[in-house]
Amino acid sequence: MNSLLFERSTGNVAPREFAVVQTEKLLKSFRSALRFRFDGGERPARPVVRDASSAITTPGPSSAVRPDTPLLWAHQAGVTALALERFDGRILISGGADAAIKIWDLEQCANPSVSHTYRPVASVPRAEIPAPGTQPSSSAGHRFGITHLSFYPFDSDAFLSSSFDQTLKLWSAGSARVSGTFNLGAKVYTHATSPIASHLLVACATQHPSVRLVDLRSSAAVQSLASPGQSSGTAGANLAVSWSPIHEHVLASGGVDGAVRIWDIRKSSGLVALLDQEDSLGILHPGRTPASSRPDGGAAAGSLPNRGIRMSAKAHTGPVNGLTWTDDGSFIVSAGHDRRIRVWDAATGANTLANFGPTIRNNQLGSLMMFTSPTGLTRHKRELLFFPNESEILVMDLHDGAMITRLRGMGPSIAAVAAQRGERTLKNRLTSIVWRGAGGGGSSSGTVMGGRNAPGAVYSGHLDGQIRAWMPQLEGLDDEGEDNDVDEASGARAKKRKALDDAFKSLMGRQITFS
Amino acid sequence: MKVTKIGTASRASSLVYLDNDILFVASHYGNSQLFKLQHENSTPVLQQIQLMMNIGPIMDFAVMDMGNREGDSQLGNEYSSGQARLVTGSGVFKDGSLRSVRSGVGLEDVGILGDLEHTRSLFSLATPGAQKVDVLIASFLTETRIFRFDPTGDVEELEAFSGMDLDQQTLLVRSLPNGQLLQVTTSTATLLDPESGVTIASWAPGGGKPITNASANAEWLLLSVEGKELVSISLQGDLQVVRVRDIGNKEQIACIHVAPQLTDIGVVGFWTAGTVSLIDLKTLEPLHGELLRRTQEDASVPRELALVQVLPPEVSGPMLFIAMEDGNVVTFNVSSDYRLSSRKSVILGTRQARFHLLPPRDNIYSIFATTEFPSLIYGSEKRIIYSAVTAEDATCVCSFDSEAFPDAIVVATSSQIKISHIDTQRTTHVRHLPMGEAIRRMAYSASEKVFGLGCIGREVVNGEEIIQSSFRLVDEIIFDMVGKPFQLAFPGVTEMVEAVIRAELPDSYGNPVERFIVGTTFNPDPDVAANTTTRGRIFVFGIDSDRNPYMVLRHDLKGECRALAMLDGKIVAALAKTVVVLQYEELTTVSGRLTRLASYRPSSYPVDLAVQSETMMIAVSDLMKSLSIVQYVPGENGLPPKLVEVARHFQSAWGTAVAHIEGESWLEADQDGNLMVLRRNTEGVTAEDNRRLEITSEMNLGEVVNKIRGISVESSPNAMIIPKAFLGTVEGGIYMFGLIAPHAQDLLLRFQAKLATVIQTAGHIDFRTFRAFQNEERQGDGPFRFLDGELLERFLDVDEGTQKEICQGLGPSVEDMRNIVEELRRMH
Repeated sequence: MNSLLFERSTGNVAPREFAVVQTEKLLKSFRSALRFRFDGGERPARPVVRDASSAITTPGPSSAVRPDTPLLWAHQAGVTALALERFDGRILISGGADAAIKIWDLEQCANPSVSHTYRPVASVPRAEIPAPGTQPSSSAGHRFGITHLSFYPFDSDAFLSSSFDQTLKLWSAGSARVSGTFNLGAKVYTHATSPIASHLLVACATQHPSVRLVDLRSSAAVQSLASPGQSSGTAGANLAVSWSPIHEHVLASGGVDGAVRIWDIRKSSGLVALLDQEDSLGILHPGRTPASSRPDGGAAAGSLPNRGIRMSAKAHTGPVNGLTWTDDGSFIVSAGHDRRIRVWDAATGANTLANFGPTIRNNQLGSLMMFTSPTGLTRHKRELLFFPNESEILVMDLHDGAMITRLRGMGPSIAAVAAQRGERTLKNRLTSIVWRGAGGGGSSSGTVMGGRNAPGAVYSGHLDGQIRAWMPQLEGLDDEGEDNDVDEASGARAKKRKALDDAFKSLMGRQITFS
Repeated sequence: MKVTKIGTASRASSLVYLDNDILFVASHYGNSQLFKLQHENSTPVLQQIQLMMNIGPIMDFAVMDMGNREGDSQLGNEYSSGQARLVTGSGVFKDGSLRSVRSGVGLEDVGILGDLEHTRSLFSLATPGAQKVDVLIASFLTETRIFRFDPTGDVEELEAFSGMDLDQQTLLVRSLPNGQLLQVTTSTATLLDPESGVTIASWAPGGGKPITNASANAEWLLLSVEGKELVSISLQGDLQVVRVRDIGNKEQIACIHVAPQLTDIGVVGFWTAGTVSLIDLKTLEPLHGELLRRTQEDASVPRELALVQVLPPEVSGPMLFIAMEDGNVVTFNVSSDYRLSSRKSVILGTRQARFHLLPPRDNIYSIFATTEFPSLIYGSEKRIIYSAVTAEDATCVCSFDSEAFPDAIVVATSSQIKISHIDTQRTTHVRHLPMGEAIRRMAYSASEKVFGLGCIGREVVNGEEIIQSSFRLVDEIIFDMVGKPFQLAFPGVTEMVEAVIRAELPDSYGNPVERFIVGTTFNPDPDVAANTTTRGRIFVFGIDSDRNPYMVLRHDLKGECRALAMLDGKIVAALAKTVVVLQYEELTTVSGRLTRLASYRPSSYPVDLAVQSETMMIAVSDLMKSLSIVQYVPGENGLPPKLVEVARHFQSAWGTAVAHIEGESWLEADQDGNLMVLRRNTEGVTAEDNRRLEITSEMNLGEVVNKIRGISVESSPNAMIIPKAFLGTVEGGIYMFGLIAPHAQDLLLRFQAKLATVIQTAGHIDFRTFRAFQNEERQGDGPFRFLDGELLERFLDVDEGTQKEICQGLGPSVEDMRNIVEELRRMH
């Protein structure tokens, strides 16, 4: 780093190259940042008995939450969705299983090196179940769990939410008020807006087999994208949608049937391609018959079989619930219940055969939010994939699948969460991860790491109700500011801590003595 | 393939073969060179034909003179602008050098005539028969002395010369085209035959009244007697008085001048009214008069005049220069019918300037103006340039193009008379001291008159690259190394010097002494496991009587030391990711102790520090996240001292350098070439306002700034731009940064906006886009409250019609605008 600084000041290393070296290092050094906590304001229903809480929160050494810290939840019922705007990297919104939505200002804490407990700047509670016979108020919040949150494509003043209550809502972020509600008549698993388009179409993946497009301008569901083979009887729900970050009319969707479909929404038939896991060559590979040379040409020339695409092509052997594009639009990444992640060349549709190994776990019915590191932070074709793997975040090389880091420390595997009636325990799981970046106007992600005041950050939402922060480990020793000769002081502190810890353990745990 | 060494060149960025065996080595890291390939005994050898100086990349620099050299303060004076001297650490590794850079007209002393005090004026003459000037006449208050130079440069003082009167002050000496010699003393005007010394004619005012002023050209002599009478004398007719004019009791003559190029025209300046008049020397009738005072309160008096051709005739007619008593110089264009127009005024100093016409080349004069900061006034690029001259204390000047000293001038100071060479034009003067190592950081100690340099050298030994750092001293005056370099080395690691500052620290007796503080970083050798947790060190050096640096303290750090600063006697150090405040204590003369007082963690890595001692603020420039301002709170009531973050700039600027500007404003540069002025809004209503630094100005410079050094300059209350800092860039640029005075902001910003629409740039690049802030996060739509001096100066290049168009609706007249821009031009 110091020799690089020297090289930069001589002009030997260009500032951009310098930046890439730094960001690449930072990207690979994400660690859990327990100094940041998110306090949604809910308190334990009954007075916390010390041992009861610690049984939940201190299962292993990976959780470094000190036993004396009070229990805090972002959403006591579990966090199901997160979104972070890519313009300033400042506003984080979280949605809970209890249908509440909370807005957090990440710049509340200016210095990312000091610990801080965030409190929401605004929150929307669950809407009351309307009395029988009355229409639910369209200006109220959601009634069932939030499935997905996303920001408006042009600024951070508005965001969208979708829920199991079959609605998509448009919100104003400043006032935390609903500015529009769209009832889609089916559970909405996820939705997506194009990061670049001038149109304001929201693509919704619902229980319904076709992809529904909602126009925010006319407040109407304008279009349904259904493929010929997709009749409502045979095909299941859609679980993932993602717009191309470079072509404003191109959309990818993944369904329960294992197919990833590429749509051009301007075309009446809509479907332009299917990703085929068995095709590692792509449609432009020579040797395929070009459509124009076929004698019958004409109308059939554009149809998929004529372009060498099998209508039965599947991207995964199980439901596809994760889809994302690299933000230069060159690759599509898909994840399915077959515990595979596939990387596709977006230009040809070829499966690049990147192999991410056997560690992948994925079986939730619902959208899986993974993302790739923005291009420009790494050297070309060295992008990283951040993948929520149930109880850990995997950071992997997008192109060769090599594991870079496994971010663990997600708390207990079984968590007690608040339910509508009392409390219930469920298996803790990562529900959502978001990238904190700024400067993302006009692209699909913020290319500036860590927003405007942190060297980088990823936030994750968990079913145990926590939002956890992950930050890069900076080079250098953490105690470098300390004097060399005051080690006794810190030694004394460590001793004290150990004594406390021992006392705690002797009270809590059963002494195991070997004889 | 056979490889033969044919010579050594700078590290090339590009090689261009120019045919005819000529090779151009273009270098970013050192000087560019032009070589010719010689063939000696069939082995080709490179021979350097030309060397093109390059001061980039500037890794660090020191601001030397800002007019005065008193003490440590970099306090300067606005009149000395253009006299500023910078010393830069330039070049990389083998091409590294220390360069003294100044912009101005160079004056190089050739010899000293003697310690002669209080010279009133100087004249030069040629003895009869001599080809070139060889006699120097120095006039003092009560006598006149003559010196004669022989062709070898030997000097003798003459007791008598051509019958001149040497017992009085001489106002004027001139040899006439017909060989005769004119001498005007305070009592008489005499025409002499230089060979025999016989007086041909003589004229003295009646009643023993003194001659107060005299001026002559080839045909006319104009005298002012007691300031009340104007006498014009024809030199053709044996000092025949052509006309005498009494100007009465109400008025007094302040100055007179006979135009050397316009035969019958004289200029007279009046004391009481503050006017100048062009007069016909035959009749002494005024042709045209001009009142110089602009307001009622203005009591300024013209004290020196010059009506000469300074620009080529095709560009402009003759110009009248008037030195006012208050240090202003007013200029007019003189038309063929002797009307005055295009008034401009420029401040050269605080007292009147004296004009000394230097002999014309191709009938173009240049004027040497002596005030406390001498200037050379000359024409260049169709404009009049007022350039500082490196002759600080000159009182009078005359040209002395002698055989022994061709093209020389004689300069009298208050204590001596010197012979010097003067450049005809302003140039950037670079003196260069090759170091053979990259100068990573430098600091200047005014009391020791030395630079402390942190150098990084690179050698290749047996195919292995060895990086070696050292701390060394360079004397400012002789501009060469002194003492033995102190090698910084630690086994198993490559130690690189990253920070050098000077400071006054208490010695073991508590007396303040001059010290250099050096911070280093360790780059562990990947092949050798470093058996240390030390990641960097801080050294404190003293200077011994032999001017060797000696180590007082060595302190091991657990983080790399990247920058250093002093705050209230404490050392502030930026480590790898922490900023610490350290207390220094000297125990014995060769040992000391550093104690940590407080620490602070910025967003990512600190890269540069700036402090403001009054409010105990430290600005920490972050590698990735712009700037944060931290206040040092001394420990009180048993609480330990603290570093408290008071404000931060929320933006992802990859900072490179920061400096304090004034009050709560800081100047920051980032690696995308942007400059930002950031201000802490202490008057903000909410706490949120206070902790967010706001951008008050921003611009894209397009070059990566390596170092910003603040300067403080005394400026007059109505100055438009107040210089605040110099910037040194990777590309080798030196920029001056100034604040626009509040009263001029609106005018200049509107002026720039209008200029930008009119001025055509190379490639028709839109000015606003070109200078707009730009980084990964944000793209501005134009420079924000930032002036580009280069663009403003281009106003002077456009024709008068365009100037009028630009000034339309702006407020000030075209002439005022020209003055303003001319003034701004003089700032550098």
